Amino acid sequence: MARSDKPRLVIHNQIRTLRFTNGEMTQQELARQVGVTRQTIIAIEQGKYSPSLEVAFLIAHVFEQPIDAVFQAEL
Amino acid sequence: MVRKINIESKIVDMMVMYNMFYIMSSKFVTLTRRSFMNQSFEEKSVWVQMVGVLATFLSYTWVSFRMMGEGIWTLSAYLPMFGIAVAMLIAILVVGHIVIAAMHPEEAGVRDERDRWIDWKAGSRSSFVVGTGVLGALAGLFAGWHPVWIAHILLHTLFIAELAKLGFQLFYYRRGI
Repeated sequence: MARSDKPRLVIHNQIRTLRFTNGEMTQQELARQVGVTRQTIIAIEQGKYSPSLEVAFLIAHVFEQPIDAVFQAEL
Repeated sequence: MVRKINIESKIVDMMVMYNMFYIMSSKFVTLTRRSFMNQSFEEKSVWVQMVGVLATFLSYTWVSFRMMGEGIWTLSAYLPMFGIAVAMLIAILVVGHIVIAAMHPEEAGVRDERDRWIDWKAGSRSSFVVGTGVLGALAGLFAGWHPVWIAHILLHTLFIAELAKLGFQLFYYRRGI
């Protein structure tokens, strides 16, 4: 497949909403539980960084949600 | 009377300009400080490295080019300069990292997958600089250039490659990856 034919995937997430519905959890607290920096959580929330599968599953685990309730992909 | 009014109006103008300058500069400092405080330790570290490498690169280039201009074409004459440049770089890096670690001690040395990914991608993007510099030095060697030129091409290649890598890192931290 040529590079220009590669489908463009846009990933959205509900982390900000889930933080607020989980006792207004801070970015720092989520970062601590997942094992990344606060700045990485900020970058994920802003859509500036797509986390690895491991981190994505860890975030879903913190909120006790299935992964597709936290992250959604749009082609 | 007219002259007195002119002087007073100039003083008022100066005070207005001073106040405008003060407000703008304090706003700039506040925004810069807020932006800097929101950066991860790794991003601050990249800024420190950028300042250190840039300061070393510019001062070494300035002095070495002056030495070449004065007709110093012995490679060993540049060794003390190189030693001072390395010591200067180490000093800036050590002091800089102590300062940024003191700002947020709990974040010091913490590096996650995003930092590693940005580091790898920036290194990959800037690797062409090293290749180009080495090829340039080899071409110069075959063309019979003076060893001082060859040594400086190689040294500057390392500096520029590092600056390119740090620049790409800052770009990816700001724009996202």
